[in-house]
Amino acid sequence: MPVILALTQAHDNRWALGPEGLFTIADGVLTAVPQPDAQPACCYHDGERLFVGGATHGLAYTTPDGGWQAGWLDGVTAPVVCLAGDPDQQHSGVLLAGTAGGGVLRTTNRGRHWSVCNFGLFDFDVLALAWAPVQPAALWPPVQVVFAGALGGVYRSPNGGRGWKQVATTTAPVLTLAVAPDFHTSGVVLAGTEGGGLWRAADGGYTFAPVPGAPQVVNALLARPDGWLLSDAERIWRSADGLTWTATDQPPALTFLATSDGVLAGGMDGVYWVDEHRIA
Amino acid sequence: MVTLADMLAPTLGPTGGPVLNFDAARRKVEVLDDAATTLRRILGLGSPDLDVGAMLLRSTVWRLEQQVGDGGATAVVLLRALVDEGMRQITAGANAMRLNDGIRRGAAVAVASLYTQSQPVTGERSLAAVARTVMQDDDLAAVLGELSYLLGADGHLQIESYVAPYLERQYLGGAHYGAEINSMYFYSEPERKRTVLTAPAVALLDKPLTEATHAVALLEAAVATGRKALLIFAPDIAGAALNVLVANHMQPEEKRKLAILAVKPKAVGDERRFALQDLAAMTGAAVLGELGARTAQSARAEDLGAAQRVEFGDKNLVLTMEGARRSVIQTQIADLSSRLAHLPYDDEERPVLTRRLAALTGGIGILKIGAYHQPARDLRRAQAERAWKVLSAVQRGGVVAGGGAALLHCQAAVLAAADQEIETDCALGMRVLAQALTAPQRQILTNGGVAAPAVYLHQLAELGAPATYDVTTATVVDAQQRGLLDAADVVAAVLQAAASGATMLLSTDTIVYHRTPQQSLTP
Repeated sequence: MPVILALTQAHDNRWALGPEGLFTIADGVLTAVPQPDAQPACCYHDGERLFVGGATHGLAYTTPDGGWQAGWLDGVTAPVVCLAGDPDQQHSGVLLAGTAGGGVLRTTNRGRHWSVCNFGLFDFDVLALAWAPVQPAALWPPVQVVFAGALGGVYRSPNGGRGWKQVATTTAPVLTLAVAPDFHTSGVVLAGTEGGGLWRAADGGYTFAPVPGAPQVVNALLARPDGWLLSDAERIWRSADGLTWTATDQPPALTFLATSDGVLAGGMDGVYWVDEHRIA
Repeated sequence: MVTLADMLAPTLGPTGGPVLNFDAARRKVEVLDDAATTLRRILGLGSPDLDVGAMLLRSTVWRLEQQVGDGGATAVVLLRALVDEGMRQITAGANAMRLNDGIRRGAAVAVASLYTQSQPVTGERSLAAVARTVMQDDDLAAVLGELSYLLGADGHLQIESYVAPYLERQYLGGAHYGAEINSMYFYSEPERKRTVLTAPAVALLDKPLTEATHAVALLEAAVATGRKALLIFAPDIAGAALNVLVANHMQPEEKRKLAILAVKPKAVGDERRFALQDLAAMTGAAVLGELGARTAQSARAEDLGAAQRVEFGDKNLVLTMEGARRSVIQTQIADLSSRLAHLPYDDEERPVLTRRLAALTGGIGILKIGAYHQPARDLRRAQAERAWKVLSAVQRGGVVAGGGAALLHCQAAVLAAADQEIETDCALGMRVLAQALTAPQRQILTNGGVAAPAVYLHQLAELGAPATYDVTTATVVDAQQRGLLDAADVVAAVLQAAASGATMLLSTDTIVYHRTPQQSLTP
């Protein structure tokens, strides 16, 4: 089975991506589909287009005729390693892309043109991106919070990625981020690192602190309304509050995808459904 | 003084509106919403006796505005309360000089107490809440809060005005320098007149580069660094040197070893020297030529610096430094920050230092604001400038309860100090100050239509910090939770300015009138 690094979905379709290519997922079966890049690293579907980021061509998206179109990347040649769409992306058309060496790219026209948005970034290897849910209209001031995980810490943007501020300095690269679905009331954000443990913020992401007792290597994180999932190199862990973690007997994952059918995990052996009964 | 204080007191607090000033000579109406500018428009009250006090008040408030950007009306109310009560005590037999000493010492105790109430600000929400207390424009306050959060206390903000209602912000990352490209061949995107270099080597020269041998030496040094691009920043590049660089740059991509960008700075004199100095710090390059130990001809790989990205377009060079250099330039950042902290807000050197600091710390912010009419545009711009000063103060000194409550909460500390004081008139001065500390909150309650202000003053004093009175909801609230905040530095400056102005008025015995008063451009 292929190694799966990224999962995405739109409508009833799901895609998995790894070093061995791009696949559609149907009934747990992976079917290879044409891909735009020899070394793909991440994928994201905005409901209209499938985006694939990689090393050779940076970033490409699907066209209505079934082909691929490369995005204009503002002179950045670094590989695109992560993608994240604004929760209100259908209206705003805003997506962010993290690159290994070029910082953050931002598009406001669904991927045709990307601009470098590195204001406040001091670390240009951006390995993870996570948006906070859309802020309720009653709250003031209006903010669009998004987090970026980099080699040396976590950055927070209050304005949808136009500018960044470092909010945590970690001893290891931040590989994954997860924002609580009730972020605007609880303010909880988790950042998983490669060897530096799990970091947690409970104040809207202004200050992070290490979580004692959590695994040191965190490859994947997922925030759900009823709790959190984490995967290290050995197994999946669960937590109700992001502070206290319990190991499960589920195999490890490199990425999670919350779907209407449950949680899909991608890892070294393809994709599998996380057994909700076995982790509950 | 009393006439002006009476005029400004109703503008204190969220219920006060702007002041319209009709300039009869130019038949123009001006919208003013800060005490300092309002006072500045008053050139005299028609009587020399009245003018002395009025001009002292005007000067005190204007200096305060220049220093911290806000708090003029509060200072006026506080100053008047101090003078009223101080005059009463002096008339009753107190020694004016000892009373003044008590007021000054009481102010010092109050400032110390103020900073114990101060809470640091952590995010754009609190900063926006503070900005909202300076202006009645929620949208602008929200944008300023965000800008302040991302740019920091010493951040460089440019304000651009537009002729239609507009509000937007832009963040320009990296260090920006006005520059001209030495040859059109260096454009990597000719149709956009733009060049982007990724991870280039950087050569800094303080003398023109004209000799081919010098250009070759630079190219060899750049190739030796292992980088694929080279930025040359020199006063001029011409002649044989330019030919060599263009010839190398124009080679087919598969054969080309280096992508080259050569630019000359627009700045001259000290500004160019500072630019070279800052670029050297950011890139780790040695300045080749007169300032440095070596010339371009003897350049070695270690004389060249490096950048994460260089972008040239629209006569502007933007250099983003490598993340690792950040720790190396901390001393320079600290030095510039410290120099800025000791400069008055209206010092001419301040914008230069702020620009240099912005280059070293990562960039500048641009606030784009507009309105249909010139008075409204001017008002919005003035509000933004004042709020920006206040937000800088907030990031340095934290926030305290707004609405005059923070001063009220200092009262207990001042009274305790007065009880400890053995010199009677000095203790009296402290009590005068303690009593005056209630005046701003009392005035806000009165302006808000509260029938019995004393009841709420007592309640607030009982609750202590951070309680304050929210005029819009007519309730006593937690200022931190409700976002009714003032900058601690601003409130401290208000207190000191009012105490200074009051002691000057209380200690003045004789006034000398000049037949032809000295003219001054500043109030």
